[in-house]
Amino acid sequence: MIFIGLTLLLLAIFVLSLLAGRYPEAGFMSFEQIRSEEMAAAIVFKVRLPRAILAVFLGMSLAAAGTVMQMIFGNPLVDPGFLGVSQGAAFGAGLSIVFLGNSPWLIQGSAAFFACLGLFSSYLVARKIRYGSWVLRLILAGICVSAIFTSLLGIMKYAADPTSQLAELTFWLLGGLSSITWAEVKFVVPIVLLCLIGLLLFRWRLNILALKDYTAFSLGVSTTVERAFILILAVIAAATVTAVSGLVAWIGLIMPHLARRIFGADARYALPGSMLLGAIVVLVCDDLGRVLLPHEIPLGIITSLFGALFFMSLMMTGSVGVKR
Amino acid sequence: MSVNTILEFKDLSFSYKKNSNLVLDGFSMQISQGEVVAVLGPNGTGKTTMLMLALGWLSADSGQVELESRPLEQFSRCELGQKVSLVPQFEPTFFDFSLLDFALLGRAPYLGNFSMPKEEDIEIAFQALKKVGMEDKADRSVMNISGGEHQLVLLARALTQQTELLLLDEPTSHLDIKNKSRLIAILKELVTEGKTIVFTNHEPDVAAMISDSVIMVKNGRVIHSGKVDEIMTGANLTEVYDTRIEAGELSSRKVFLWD
Repeated sequence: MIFIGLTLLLLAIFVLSLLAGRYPEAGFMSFEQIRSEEMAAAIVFKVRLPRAILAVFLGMSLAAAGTVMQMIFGNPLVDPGFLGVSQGAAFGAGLSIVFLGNSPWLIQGSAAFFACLGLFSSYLVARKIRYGSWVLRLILAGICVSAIFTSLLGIMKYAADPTSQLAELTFWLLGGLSSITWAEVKFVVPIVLLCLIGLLLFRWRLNILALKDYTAFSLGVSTTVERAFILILAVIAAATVTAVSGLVAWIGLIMPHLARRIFGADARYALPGSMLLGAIVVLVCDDLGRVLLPHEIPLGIITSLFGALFFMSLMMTGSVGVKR
Repeated sequence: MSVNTILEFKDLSFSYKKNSNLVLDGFSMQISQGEVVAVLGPNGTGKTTMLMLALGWLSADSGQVELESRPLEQFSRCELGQKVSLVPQFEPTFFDFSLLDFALLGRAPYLGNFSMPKEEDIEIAFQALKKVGMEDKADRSVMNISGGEHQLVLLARALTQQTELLLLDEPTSHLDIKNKSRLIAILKELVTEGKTIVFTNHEPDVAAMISDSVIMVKNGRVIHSGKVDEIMTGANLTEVYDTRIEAGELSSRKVFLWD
């Protein structure tokens, strides 16, 4: 029931997003206007539609990756930023903007490459750590790898030309969808769609991966293989959207919590629920960023602002899943 | 009734690290179908190791564990999940599953990677909750139940697995006397259904109440193993626990007195 409601809500917001904007002034366009004005139609179909589609996929991917990681790592405070993915992507973008050239494809490719490299190095380091459980090792490795990428990114910032490159890098780090065209949608959607379908099909099994290793083993699950498989799907989805959107924080952390609050912890419902919520929230945040001020507010700033406030209220009104 | 060997430890040696003390040194034992075996010993002596070897989670340095006369390694992961289930002592979870959803996870060995539990799976899980007397709380969260109830739910999940062999790690550790007696009744009922049970315990009384055989473990070594009547003597128990223990009988039940 709630699912149908949320889906309808998403559709309604999607349509409103296409109509909302600042052309010619802040407010909603009428369908009549789109039909009659060539400019209005172009704005809706060439600018707002691809952007809204990407916002939906961005929200779904980050929320799904967050749910998956929280369950696999048995830790409700993990999000896709762990394991060096976000920081890797940020470094990749920085490297491209400062040294390799700032064509969008190059930035996206480099961000995606280093996001995956971040994950891969975290994994390799985790295998070498002689301490703690597998999950703890991965998290420790992720922290180190993220820190390395953050420092390298600092060097990029320092080396960047303050008049042009630094501004662009900063904008990328703040995250936003202002540069999205159909080209990005065509690149992102097929990859992300495949990953998300894979995750959705696997979702009941995800519950078992949240259990202790030997328990999952006793339930006939090959934990290493299955965790790796599902983690790779989640990271590819998150890295792909991040490559075009820049860093959009908090969605991957909060949507899983909200979804569990509404639908219960069973990933059969929590995973699709968190994806729906992620899509709705990102779409609304992006709309606000476009419409509120004459100059666009980067999406990452809005999601962080609302995310942090929302997380606080979530913790004050009940458990976030961490006891004691 | 013919007695089939369901689980056999064959000349098993095991140590946690290479060249360190052997936890097991040429240990052999046969466990028949329908038998209840207690692994008995003080806290922290490697009782759980025995269960993990039987589960296949740990593998022996030499020797073999055989399930239904086949070496454990020859079974696929799924097959094993359909034949052996584990009831851990405690399982912390950060996610508030309902008790029914939690018990339902026991269906995993029967469901493919990409499939969802069906009506009949849910029914099996519900019946398992009923068996441990928790069906009224099926919608409660696993995070909001007592330690004793938690253990019963873990047992329900293992029952949902519908395995012939159940491995229980300290199943009575969080239970009060009423729940202990309930658990023992449940285990006895499972045995009449033909299930085989291996459980660890540090209380001789509980072990003597339901088991046929006992494996006594001390300092990570098996020091005695065999039938309850032969093994659970005051002298053996005194040796295991480093405390003077007298074995006696009261209303045809074994009782143990200790200083």
